[in-house]
Amino acid sequence: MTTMIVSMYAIYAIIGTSVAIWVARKLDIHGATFAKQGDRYDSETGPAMSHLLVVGFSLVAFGVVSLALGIGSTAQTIQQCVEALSSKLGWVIMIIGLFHFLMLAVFAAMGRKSPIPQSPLNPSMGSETPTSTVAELVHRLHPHE
Amino acid sequence: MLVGVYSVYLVMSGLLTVWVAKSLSTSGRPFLLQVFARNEPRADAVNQLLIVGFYLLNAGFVGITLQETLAVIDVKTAIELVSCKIGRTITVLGVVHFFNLIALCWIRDHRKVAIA
Repeated sequence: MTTMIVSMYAIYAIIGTSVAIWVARKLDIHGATFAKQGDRYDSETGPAMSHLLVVGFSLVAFGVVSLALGIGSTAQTIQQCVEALSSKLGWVIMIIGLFHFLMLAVFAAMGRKSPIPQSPLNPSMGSETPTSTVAELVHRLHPHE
Repeated sequence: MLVGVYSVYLVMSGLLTVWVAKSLSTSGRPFLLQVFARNEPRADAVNQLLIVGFYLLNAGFVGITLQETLAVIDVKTAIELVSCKIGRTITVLGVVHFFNLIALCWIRDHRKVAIA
């Protein structure tokens, strides 16, 4: 019985870590492209930031894989073992997938061009802009006043 | 058996901590250089001190969470225990790492605004 559960753990560990490594490698390869195209990071900090993000992703992914290993430890038969293995892997892969989408959002934000520095959104301009617009409107409506 | 669990936990936590610290110091250096306006000795000094702090925090966390009250009777229990302990440590490490990244970006952006 113990041997069966231990081999279930081994299969789980192999598949779980393979998925985590595969996703992390994909993110590492393709994430750097985003950093290069945005203008918030230069040629040094862009790859560094994308690498650090991938390190964080790997840590959390391996942590989730490792934390979920003990689920289904009371399985008695081969059928229960297979069921526990499948549901465990399903949950872990789904969590990694959700986290992957989160990372995509972060990479997309990295690749975005920053807005023009002195835009009307600048807080210091905020109090003046509406007043001038209203004054212009009044002038346009009553040009002789 | 419990001693085995403890040693595996310690060795794996140590390796993970060194790996994360190495990648943090290597990849964090360009950010520090940017923040300290290309002042290399200053950036390297800050980098080293940050890494020392990182090691201390991690060693403390691993030390606090080492003790285990569960009875380890067979290999199966040992595997479950080691996996759970390491999983907790890695997840905490990962979350702290993301906070580090947010702090790094925050410092960089705010320093830039102050200079400009």
